Parts: sequence; C-alpha cells; structure tokens
Amino acid sequence: MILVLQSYVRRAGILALAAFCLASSNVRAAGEVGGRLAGYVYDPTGSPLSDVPMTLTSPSLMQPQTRTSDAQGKFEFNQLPPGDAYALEVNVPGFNPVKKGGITLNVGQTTPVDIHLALMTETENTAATYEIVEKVNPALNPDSAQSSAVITHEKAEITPVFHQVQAMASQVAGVGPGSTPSTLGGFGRFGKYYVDGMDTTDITDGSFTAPMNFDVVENFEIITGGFDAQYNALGLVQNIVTKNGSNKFTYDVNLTWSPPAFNASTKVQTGVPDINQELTNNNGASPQTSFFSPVFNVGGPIVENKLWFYASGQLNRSIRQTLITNAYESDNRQTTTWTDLARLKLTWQASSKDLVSVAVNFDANRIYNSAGSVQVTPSAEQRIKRGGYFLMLNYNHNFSDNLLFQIQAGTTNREVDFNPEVDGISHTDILNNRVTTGSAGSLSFGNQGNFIHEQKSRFQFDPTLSWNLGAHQIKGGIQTSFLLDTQINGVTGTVRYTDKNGICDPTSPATSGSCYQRSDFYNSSGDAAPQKNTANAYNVGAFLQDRWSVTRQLTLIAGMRVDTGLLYGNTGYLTTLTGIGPRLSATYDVTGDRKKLVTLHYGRSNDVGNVFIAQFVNPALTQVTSTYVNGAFTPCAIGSLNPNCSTSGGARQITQNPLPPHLDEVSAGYRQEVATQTVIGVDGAYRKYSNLWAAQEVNRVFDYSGTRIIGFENGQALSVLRAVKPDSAQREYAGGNLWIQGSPPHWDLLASYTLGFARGTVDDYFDGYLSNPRYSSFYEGFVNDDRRHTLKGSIAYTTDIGLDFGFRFQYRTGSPLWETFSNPADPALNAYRSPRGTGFSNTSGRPQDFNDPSTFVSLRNPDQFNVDLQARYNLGKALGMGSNRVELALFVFNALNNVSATGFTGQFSQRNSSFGYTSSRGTPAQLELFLRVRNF
Amino acid sequence: MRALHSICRVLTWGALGGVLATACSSGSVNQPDPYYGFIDSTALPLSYQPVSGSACPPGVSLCYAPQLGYAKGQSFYFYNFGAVPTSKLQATLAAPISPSVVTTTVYTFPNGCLSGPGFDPQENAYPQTVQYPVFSTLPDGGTGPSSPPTLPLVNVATVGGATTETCNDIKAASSIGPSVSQTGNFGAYSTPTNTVSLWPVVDVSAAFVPKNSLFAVEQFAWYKGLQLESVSGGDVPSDAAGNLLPMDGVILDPPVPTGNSPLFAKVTDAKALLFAFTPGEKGYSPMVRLWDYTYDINQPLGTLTGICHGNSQACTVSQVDIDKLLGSAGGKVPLNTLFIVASPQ
Repeated sequence: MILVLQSYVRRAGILALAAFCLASSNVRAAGEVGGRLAGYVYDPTGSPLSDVPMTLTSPSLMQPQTRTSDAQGKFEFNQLPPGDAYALEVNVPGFNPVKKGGITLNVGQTTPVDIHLALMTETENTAATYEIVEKVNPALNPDSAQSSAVITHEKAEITPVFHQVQAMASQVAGVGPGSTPSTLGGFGRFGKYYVDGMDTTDITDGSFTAPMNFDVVENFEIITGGFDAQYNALGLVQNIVTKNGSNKFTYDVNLTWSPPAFNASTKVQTGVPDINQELTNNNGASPQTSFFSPVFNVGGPIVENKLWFYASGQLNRSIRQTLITNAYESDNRQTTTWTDLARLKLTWQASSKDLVSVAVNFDANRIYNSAGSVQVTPSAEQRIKRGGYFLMLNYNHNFSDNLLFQIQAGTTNREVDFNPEVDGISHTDILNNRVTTGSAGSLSFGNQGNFIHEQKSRFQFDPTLSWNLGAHQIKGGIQTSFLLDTQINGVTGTVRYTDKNGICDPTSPATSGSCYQRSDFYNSSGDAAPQKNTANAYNVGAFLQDRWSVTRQLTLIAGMRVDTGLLYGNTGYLTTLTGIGPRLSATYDVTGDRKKLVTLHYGRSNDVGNVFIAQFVNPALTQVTSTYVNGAFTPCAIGSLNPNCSTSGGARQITQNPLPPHLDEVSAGYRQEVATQTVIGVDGAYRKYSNLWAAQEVNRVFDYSGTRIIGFENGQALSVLRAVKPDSAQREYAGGNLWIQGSPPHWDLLASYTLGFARGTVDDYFDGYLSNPRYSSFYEGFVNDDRRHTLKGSIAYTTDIGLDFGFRFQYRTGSPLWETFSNPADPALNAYRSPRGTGFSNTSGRPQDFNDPSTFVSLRNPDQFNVDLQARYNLGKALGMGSNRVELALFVFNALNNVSATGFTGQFSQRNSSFGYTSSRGTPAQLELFLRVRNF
Repeated sequence: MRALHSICRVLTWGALGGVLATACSSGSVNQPDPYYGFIDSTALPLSYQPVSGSACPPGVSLCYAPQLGYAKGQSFYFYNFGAVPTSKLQATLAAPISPSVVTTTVYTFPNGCLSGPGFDPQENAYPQTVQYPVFSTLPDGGTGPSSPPTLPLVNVATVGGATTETCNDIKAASSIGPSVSQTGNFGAYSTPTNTVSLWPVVDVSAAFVPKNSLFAVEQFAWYKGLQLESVSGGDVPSDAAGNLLPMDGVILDPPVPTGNSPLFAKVTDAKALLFAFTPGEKGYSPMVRLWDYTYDINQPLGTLTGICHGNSQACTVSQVDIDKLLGSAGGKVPLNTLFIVASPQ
C-alpha cells in the first residue's frame, strides 16, 4: 500500500509539475456538455472479464459507440449527450448476450451499469437476452465528490417555475434565491453559467448574461461544491446542455398567456410601516400585470446520422404596473418589457471520430419605465436596452477509445444601454422624500451617472484531453478567455440639481429659495463630458486531474489547477493575479452496490479577476457638488477645499499583490438509496473565502466619530479609493444540507433542508468595507447570505391518464439586516453604530438610544414562504394522438397570494426615518395558462 | 433510517457546538472591551450642544464658540456649558455644596498601559498607545423640576492593576472593579481621589474656536465601548471637608425704564458676565455662582470689567460691588450656577 501511495504521490507530483508548465496564466473552467456511462463486466464467477466488446446506441447518438473492457473488466463511454434512451449491448461468444436499455445519461454525471454475463448452454436460444434497465439513478455518482443535482427537461416541465433558464438553480440545496443566487455563503457574482460548455457568465456582474430559450435545454446540472479540477469557481456552476436534434423531425409550439384577469392585484405599497399595508389615499384602479409568450422549437435531421439541427424562437411581452403615490402623482405606472430570443444549433458527425456542434443564440431585451419607483416621476424614469449573441463551438475527436480531445470555444457579445426616458436635467427634492423629476437620477450609489452604454465581449478557447489509463482516468486542459468591456458613463446635460421644496432654476431669482446643491460631472480629462472606460482581462489556466479507481469501492480524485488573470484598464496594464488550486476528493462505495456512498473533498478555487475589477480601477465619473450660498452656487473646482464644495468619484488605485481572492472548501457527504430511484443525502461543508476585494479610502481622513472629514492626504478634497485584498476581507460558511432526490414510480422529488451560517466582513466586492476605515470593526457579522434555515422542494405526481401535478414550496429565514445611517460627510457612504446584522430596534415605538450598545439586537428581514402549483393534462392521450401531445397546463405562482413584506428598510434618519418600514413585498399571485403542441 | 438519525444528531450537535464556541469566545475575562464607535452627541443636553451659523468661522458648520467676559479688569474668554438652578446645589448661601451631587465618575489611568501598534489616524479608530479615561455615565439631560441637575462635573478616580493591558483595551466602566479585592477586566480596580473636575462631554463633530487652551484640553474617553470627547475645565476647589467651592460671578442685566418689568440677560450674552478670578488664579473655580446686577445705561456692556467687595476694599467705577448685591439680595441664594471652561486668551 505504501508503495502504491509513493507511486501515486510521485505521479501526482509529475502531473502537478506538468500542469504548472502548461499554465502561463488563470482559468475560467470549461463547462461540461456530456455524461459518462461506466461499469464493470463480470463472468459468472464474479471475476472481472477483460476484452469484452460492447456497443452503445441511442437516439441521442448519430453513430453507435463501441468500447472494450480493460484488464480489470472496466469500461467507460465519455462525453455522451444527455438522454434517456441509451442501450448497451454485449455479445461475447459462449455467454448469453445482454442488452440493457432505458439507460439515462445526465450531464456531468456518471451512470454506472455493470454487466454480469452468464454462460450460454447449447439448448438456449441464441437470441440476445433483453434486460431492461428502466432508469439508472444518477444521484449516486461514484466518480465524483461534487455536490450536484441534475434537472432534466422532463423534470423542468413538471415543475411550477417560470420558464427561465436562470430560475432553475435556486431549486437545489444550498443555492439562494434569485436569478443570480449566492451559494454556500459566497457572492452571487461567483456563479458560473455554461451553455454547451461556453462560459456565458456576465463579465462584469457575474450574472447569467442573457435570457435564452428555456425549451431548448436538455439538462441543467447545478454544482454547488466539491469541484473537480476542471472548474475554477467560488460559487455555483450551472451547466446547461441544449438539445441537438435527432434523426426524427420534431416540433414543439407553445404559448404562455397570463392576461390581467389572471393576476391578483393588491393595492399595497412599500415604504410604509409594515402594519399599514393598504393605501388610503389612492382610489384609482388597481395595478395590473400581464404576460404573453409564444415559442416555437423545431429539430431534426438535415442529413440523417450526419447533420442535425435544433432551432428555437421566442417572444416575451410583459406589462407590470406599479402603484405610485407621491407629491406629484397618484397613478399606476406601467413597466413594459419586450424580450426576443432565437437560437440555432447544428451538430455534425464529421467522421466516426469527429463530432462538431455549432450554436448561436440571439437575444434582445427592452424595458420601458424600468424604475417603476415612487422615488421618481415619469419624466425621471429609465429605459434599458440590451442584447447580443453567443457563438459556441464544440469539437470532439476520439484519437482512440481511450483518448478524447475536445475543444470548447466561442464568443459572447452584448450591448447594454441604460438611458433616461427623458433627456432633461435631473432634479431631486430633499424636502420632498427625495423624489426625482426632470430626468433620471443616478443609476446607483456606485454610479452617479444616469446613462451608461456598455459593450461586453468574451472570447473563449478551451482544449481538453481525456485519457483512460487503466485504473486512472486523466483529464487535463488549458482554459483561456479574453474579456473586453467598454463603458461610456455620464449624466444628461452634465449637471444635476438637488433642490429644496421646488425646482431650482439658477437663472431665475424667483426660484432661489428652492436652490440647494448643484452637481457638475467631469471625465478624467477634466472636461464636462461622459467618462469612457475600457477594461480587458486575460484569463488563462491549466488543470490536470487523475481519477483513480483504487479499488472497486474507493475512488480518489486528485487534481491541480493554476489560474492567472492579467487585468488592463484605460492606462494599460494594472495587475496580475495568480492562484494555485489543489483538489483532492474521495468517494467510497460502502457496500459495493452503489447504494451507499461517502464523499470527502478539499479544494481551493481562485478568482483571478475579470473586467469588473479592472473597471473599478478605472476613473469614476467625477462629481463636483457646490452649495447655494448668498444667492449663487459656489464656484467649485475639482478637489476644491472650499467647504461649500465637494468632489466625489475620480481616480482609483489598485494594490499590487498577486494573491487572488480564493475559496478553501472542506466538505463531506453521505448518500444512500432509500427507495426505488430515490436517494437521500446529507452534506456538510466549511468554506472560507479569503482576500476578497475591497475599496479602501486612502485620501480622506475622518474625525473620530467617522462622520466628518478633517483632512486629505494629497491636499485635495477628493476621495481616492484603492482596490485591495486584505486578509480581513473574508467570509466563512458552515452548513449542511439534508436532501432527497429521485423519481419513484409516478413521483418526482427534489427537496432539501439547509442549515447554514455565513459570517464575514464583506457582502460583495467593493461593498463599502474600508471606505471609511473607522467603521471597519462593525463590518464583522452575519452577512446577507446567512439564510440560516431553508426548506424547499419541487414535487411532481404523474398519473397514467396524462394528467400530472407539480408542487413547489420555499421557506427561507430572512436575511440579516444592518441598521445604517446617512453619513453627513458623504451621503454615498454609510455610517454604522452596531455590528453587521444588528441595529437598535424601535419596533416598540420608543426612540432609539444609540448611547447604550447593550440595547442593539440582531435584525433580520422577514422570513419568506412561497408556494407554486402546476397542473398539466395531455389532451393528445385522450384523443389517441400517439406521440403527438397537446398539453394544457395551468401554473399558479404564489398560490397563497402572499404579499407580506419581504424586506425592511435598514436606513435610519434622525429627521425622517423610514427605518423598519417595508422596502419590498411579495409579488401577488399570478396564474399562467400554457398550451403546448409537440410530437415527442 | 438509523443512519439518518445519527447524521442528524451529529449535525445538530455540531451546530450547537459552533454556537456555543461563538458565544464563549466573546465573553471571556481578558478580552478587550468591544468598540462600538462614537457616542450619539445629539442625545447630549442642550447646554452641551455646539452652535452653528454665524457664531462659527467660515466653513465650520458646528462649533463651540468662546464667550467674552471679564475678571479683574481683563477681558476673559470662556466656553459656556450652561447653568443649573443654584437651589439644586445649595439651599442657602451658607450651605456647603456636597460632592455627592456629582454622580459621574471618570476613571483615569495614571499608571500607564502596554503600548500597542502605532496609531494611523486614517486607518485606526483609536490609538493603542494611550489609555483613555472611562466615564461611568453620560449626562442624561434631565430637565424636570424634580430631576437631579445635569452637571458637567465628574468624580475622578484612578485605576490600578491594569498596567499590562494593551492601551484602550478597557472601554467600559463595567470592566473596572471597585477595589483591589474585586478587580475587573485585566485586574483593573479603582481608587477614589476625592477630586471633582469639570469635564463636559462635547460633540466631536464640532470645532473649538480657538483650540488647544491650557485650560480647555480636549480629551477622548470611553463610555460603554463608545468613544466620546470631553473638554477639561480643571478641578473644582474644595474645602477641608471636601465640599465644592464655587467662585462668584455677576450677570449684567440690561436697564429698563422705571416701572417696567426687569429684563434679564442671557447667560450666553457676550460681555455680560463678570468673574471674581482669572483662570489659574487662586480662588478660580469653573463653577460660578451668578448674581444679577442691572447696569446703568451710562455704563453699557464692556465698561464693567470686574467684581469688588465694597465692604473690605475700594471699588472703581468699572467694578460691581458684590457686597452690595449680597446685601440687597438679603442673603438669598443667587439664581443660577454656571459652569465654564476657560478658553485660550
């Protein structure tokens, strides 16, 4: 055993060295596009049988694939398209032939299938025994310690969930809510979203880049931890594998319809004490919501067994009205969203050894009156226009049965425009609840501009080599990506006013009583013009992994990856980040029958940067604010020390330290088949996210209270932020999942309970930690992603008469809330009086005593509970239409019409506090009618 | 199912263990007191609040502006921290002012502490090279007729037994034991000094104009983990029995035509206050008994610059004879007692 270990260590060292040599810089992981089928062949005595030929066929394969068992009797088929109708045939002279059918292959999973051959007697029929494997449970994947779940398109169809690709991940244990969910205490921006192996993650905010057609997806694989070496991810990994088509022509036409009458409407609003849900000063019509979405999908052969296609088109039209009651209006404001999607995928079996697939996605999205907020009048509304395309190429070449070469390459290109609906001058009235008129106000606290035009591009090239070498399955590759981002950010008219109880016109003395502050906006050249920033990131990485079947029951997965990112900004090179990511996992099949599996894992992933980091270092739009004094606005230069002037934005810096933000994870799990096709599992994980990006203020000097600026290091009244990664910028997560997944007869189950604790000092990159160093000690506490208790599930029941039902529920502990105070020195900065996740409760109606720290308490947003329902009936079955299906489905989202508060305002103001008021509410119940006609 | 139960039990105990570990790690004896930022100065009594507007220099929105008064013929700047009814301190003029009226204790650390890392005023919230005094209470701003007076006076106590603690690890009075036999955090215990000082708590966001006086030393301190700023007005002299000794002062009320109701000057009016002694002089006290005197129209504010005792000395035209005030008042207790901090002259 020692010799074996020594040999392994030596080999691992060589592999690590090779990986290091391969790597010239970081890696975005290549996504997974296929599944594996593997097993052993045994003779009648139970001994492994070598050199056994076998053939695998499927409607998902253009050509049958063949393999031969090795000396240990082991065989393996790699990179198989997901599907549920695989058949494995073994025909050895002297033994009864075997054919196993109905085998399911899921993306990223290994489907274990063992062959037990029996001697053929002379009297037996020579016809092959047809042994049907109804389904093979993919939840017990003996080849990986990854925590993952696969949602097939069948499962997605019977789940009451909005038909959005980005909505699927939150069904899985450990994944938070929303379309850019956080996972196991990480940031939402850490997620990686692969479509057919192409990384489509937004290059700046880490979200799913763009909507795509839901119906074209064959499998969703959501991996939450225990990553194999091919992934460099600090958050979830979602592999989305789309349909290829087949030798059969298929059509799929459907329509989702939700007219206003199908949507509950309640006249509740946010920004009021929680008990006052009903408006009393609005007698107008209730706000309405409607949705309409026709979709078509067609697929089939262009040349049978050679060239397949799958095409899709979709239109979404959404109208949502928001109740607006402020000093200017009492109305329902209409937000209109148009989304157009199209996709084409071609799959070409160029030869018996070469498979090529090419896909292109288009999307266009426009949102009018996107703010829909009581804080803005119609003239200050915003408009969003965005869209682009993905181009993806997958090439597989089998040098031999044991050596597979893959290339995953492609590009994503997107344009994103945020514009004011009206190109006027923006006025915000501080004595009138800060309602904005004239033109849109700032896009966010982090971006004072009211328009941004952005172009984002990614180019990816990932070659991978997979090599079966006896008990070792070795996989290595290089993953490269080049990210480009250009932003033009500005303010219409390059000026904005903050008024007092009226509209200030500096040319009209009659309005002088309303004049308070004026902000002028400059670019980094000092011109009153938009700021244009460019940022590039080159990410290169290499990985090498050895999956070693030590024994029939024990598998060790050892890997190493090296990632490097080079970041460039307006002025050229910024910095280089390099991280090494060792991985070591083990799986142990306790009883040798793949019904009880123990997993262990340690791994490190490194975030070597993207254009978001590089853009942060670029200069921000410079805002110079002057106060109205003695009948005029004070003339202010950038950085003026005049107390009636203030400057924000401007130059940024970055620390030179190659250590990237990184995640260390230790996890363990146990999974057991508890019923037919049903697995229950328990996972525990400890995660430490270290050296996260923070923006440190390096110019301003605050007074002891942290509320007054008393000096400047460079003598100019400017804020200078430096991007840093101190040890103190960190998060920790400890938690466990208890989950069940399976499909016993008539049922489909995916449910989990998660207990998780997440503490740290930062809620996101550059979230304000160190922006005022005097408050640093307050930043330690339970972070936003400390969900504590999560109970969720999606359960479906299928009848034999074509009727099925879906039920989905979610319960989540409210996220921690942190009481904040407006900082008089800079309203963009928060002031704090208590640690993160706490505040001074005033629910009793008593004034808060900030001079008694013993009175602060833990604060949380409200717990959330939601139920969605679905019923579907296949009319085609009743009408005897064979494989043609006519499905009528009804979705009810938020079936309990729970519109109670989902968030509270954490900001406290001495003068006009809305602390504790409702900041968000549940969306009223929505009913959708779904009609689908298809021939599969 | 048995395995499942075992796993659930392990998870539950693991979670409980984590919670207990977290709870235990924050309460042990020698942990530095937690830092909770700066006090909310807006909750201080009005008399401790800064002023704004034209009283402050250009560019300064909040300040403590010095007020002009006189003593012994010299102009005299001071900061005014309000007055309380004298009747709340002494029932008669002869009654002693007991130090028991002072309810706040400030703990000082004359024996030093262990110096920590150097102080970076940009990055650090407070230095660890010096130990700030610790306040036992904050002025509560009570104004009711039966409420005790809000006094900017403190009893000074010294702290021993904590010389090996890192400076400013102690931030709360609860960490200081009452005696050497009942020590607190880091072995800290207090010893009374029988000294009463004037240390009003002030708003750190306001500027002192001018600053750095010998008598107006800004001093940072702690209260329940909160940082605060106070200003030192010096010790209040006391007699052999420990009773507090104020000095006399006069507030100059404007003249009114005969038959009209009297007018009273505001205690914050410039040039309207006369004091018996100058700062640093024997007899000077930051605690001032104010006698009312209506000045003659021919002697406007600024011409009266001192107090004299006519019964025992010759008074000049620029002095107010306080013996006459005493006589005319028939031995009554003066209306208010004022607290002042001398400003640089």
